[in-house]
Amino acid sequence: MRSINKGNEKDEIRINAYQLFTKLAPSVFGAAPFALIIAALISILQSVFWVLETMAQHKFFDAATSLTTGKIAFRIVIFYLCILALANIGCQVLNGVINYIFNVLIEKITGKLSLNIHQKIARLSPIDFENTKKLDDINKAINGKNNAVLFTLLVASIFTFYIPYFFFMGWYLFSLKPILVQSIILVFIPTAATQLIRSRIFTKMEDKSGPVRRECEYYENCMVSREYFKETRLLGGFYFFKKQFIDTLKLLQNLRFRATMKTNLIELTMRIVTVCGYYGILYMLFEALMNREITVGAFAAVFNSIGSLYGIMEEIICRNLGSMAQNLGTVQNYLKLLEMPEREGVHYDIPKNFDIVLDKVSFSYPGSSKEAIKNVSFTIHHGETLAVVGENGSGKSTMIRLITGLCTPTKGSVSFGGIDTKKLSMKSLFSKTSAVFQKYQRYQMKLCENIGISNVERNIDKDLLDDACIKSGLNQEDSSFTNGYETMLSREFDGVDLSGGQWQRIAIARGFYRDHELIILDEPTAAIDPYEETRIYNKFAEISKDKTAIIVTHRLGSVKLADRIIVMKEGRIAQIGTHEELIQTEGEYSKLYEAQEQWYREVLV
Amino acid sequence: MKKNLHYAFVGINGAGKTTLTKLLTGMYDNYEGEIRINGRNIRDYELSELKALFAVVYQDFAKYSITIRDNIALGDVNHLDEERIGRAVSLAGLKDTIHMLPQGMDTYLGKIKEGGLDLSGGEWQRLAIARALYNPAEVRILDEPTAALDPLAESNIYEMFGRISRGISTIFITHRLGAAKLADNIIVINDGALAEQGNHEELMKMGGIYAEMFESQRSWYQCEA
Repeated sequence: MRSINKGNEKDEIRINAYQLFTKLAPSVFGAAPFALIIAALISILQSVFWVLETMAQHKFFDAATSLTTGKIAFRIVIFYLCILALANIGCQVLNGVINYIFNVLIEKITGKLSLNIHQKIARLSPIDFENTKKLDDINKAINGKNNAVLFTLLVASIFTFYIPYFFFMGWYLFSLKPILVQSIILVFIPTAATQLIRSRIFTKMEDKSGPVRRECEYYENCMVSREYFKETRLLGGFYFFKKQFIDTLKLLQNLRFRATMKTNLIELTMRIVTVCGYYGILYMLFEALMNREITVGAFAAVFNSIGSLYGIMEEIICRNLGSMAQNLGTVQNYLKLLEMPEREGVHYDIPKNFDIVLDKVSFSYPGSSKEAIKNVSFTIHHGETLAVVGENGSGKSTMIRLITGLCTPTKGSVSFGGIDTKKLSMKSLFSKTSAVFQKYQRYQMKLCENIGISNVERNIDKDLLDDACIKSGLNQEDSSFTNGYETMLSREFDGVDLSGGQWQRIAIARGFYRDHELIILDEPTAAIDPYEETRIYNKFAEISKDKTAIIVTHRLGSVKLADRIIVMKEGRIAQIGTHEELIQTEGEYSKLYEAQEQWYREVLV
Repeated sequence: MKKNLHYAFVGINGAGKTTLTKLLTGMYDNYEGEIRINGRNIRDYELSELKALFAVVYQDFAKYSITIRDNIALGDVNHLDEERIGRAVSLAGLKDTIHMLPQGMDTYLGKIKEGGLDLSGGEWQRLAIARALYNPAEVRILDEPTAALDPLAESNIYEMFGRISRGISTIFITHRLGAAKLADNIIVINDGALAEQGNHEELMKMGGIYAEMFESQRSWYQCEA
């Protein structure tokens, strides 16, 4: 099988922050509705307290000035001082409480969004994982998840804290002298403008850096992962990959550096504007004081809180909105994943005895114009043992994917007991199928778990395990399993390492352990010695008598047991028949058979 | 073992074939006894010296998602020699395949780069072999190299092997005994110990483990008629 991944179609849909929020809000709110409402109320209360603190300062300063001129009693000053202290303490306490609640909220909401991602990925069509672009999108979405959480919480706090704060503060300033309200606008405009531009730059960067990051991670794996480590070390390839790693890392840094540089320059300019604004406010205050429009206390209180006004404005815009603007791109990626088309289908109970019918099936992988399967039609009867043979690249594995419904045909149809695989949900489609593929997983778990994973809905059942092991020729009393079924199959977790052949047997045992009406062995015996292979296939034929079985193999010696043999060539069925029929006809099968048989032909003894 | 000879290690799963190669290449050193290369204990070799002696194609060889050229050049990272790469490619029978690709040797493999190409199992296998051929090591070890190949490709690789292994020490680990026949010397390993040794004819006459395994495999190809 060969597929070229093009997948560079530009289907970027820019959506704005409002849309992002309305799309995220339901699942975020659903994650912790009660805590969110409490957090919102406390936030509003907090904003009130901040303004109260300024007002208390105003009253206290005025009282203190009056005291020096002997107009009011000392205890009244003390009273105002106490109010100021209470407002101050209230601010701090509420601040602590809200931080605590936010931390809890982040955990809860992250959990919920992770669940969304996992469920979504489970609903994607398996063929999506063949596509570089889609893999990229998934990678980006996972990166975007945490930012999606922060984004929604930030938007929530804008409405429950920042806006109320500026509203109350504005109202207070207005009550002092209407023109002072302008100061809020003077603070706001330059800071906001910076962020708008920043957001643009970083969204662009995220789109560019995704593939580079994946490449960078890959080179790192080439040096350190279990899969590559052994060979890279023996080849002395470490420095080669280190160079590649560093080169891509540099590229990544470069992309990030350029984007940061650009935004920082813009920010610098805007800061200068901000400083001018600051002196503007100061001048307005000074003038009002000189004209006796405001009291000394009001001047002092407002002067004092210009600092926090700037502080809060900067906090929301530069730090919160700013980092959000950088990450808005990644939040979009999260939503983009959730909107990917899913593999649809309805649940349907497939009858126990079902035939599989392929009707004029053609298939090509996404992004490839070449058809991997061309106009194939045949029926697999219930209980039949079918063998699929053919050269590498003749379409055997693709055909298996189509038969199992992992992939659905581009043209024509595959049906299970009369129901088109396109219409079936993946769950009902796979409920009756067990398959052992060339590339099986070696889970770093216990032996019993490694086998039992094919049927997680049932607790691990000793008798069934024994049965699966006998069928696959796996002897768990073998000395390599130091602890029987409980043996941990991983060096990393203080367990044992197995040979390739033993892993294959575990994979086959896994296939047998699962409930099935249809079982497929896609070349799982390559690393098993001939003695064992013959035994496994004979056993396989015996146990699959009343089940539909499909074997894909290169060892033509073992396909004799099949009821029918399908010979594939270049995506088509070249021949179909029993071993005896095929061997007597000059054709693809006899050609393959001879090639293998010649090595054993020599007259012996 | 002697220089420039073609050896085959055969034996059932778990008999210790792969472990033996790991000992040779210095991957494990917690063994008893002595392994000597050119009369020198391998414990006395620098790890880098030892690594330079062997070129190994593992059963689960690495499929690097880099260009075809780099995949082969990894066999000898310090010397890039286009001509030798070209020779390795044609010996491994990849020339036509690569010729058909628009980017040729610079084609990226795997799914890491956009536009990357996925090779078939047999093509990957040949690429891994080309990598070993490009490696100037004195001993080549092929651990079950044809497991994933179709009969035609398998047969081709055996023939290719006969060709390329002239004048160089080769260790061929297999349980497909048809291939073992090519070897000058077959070492049968059973339960971690050397059980039988000799060439194909000698071992067949001996009527031991090897003969039994060979018969079992041959029986697949005998017509019932």
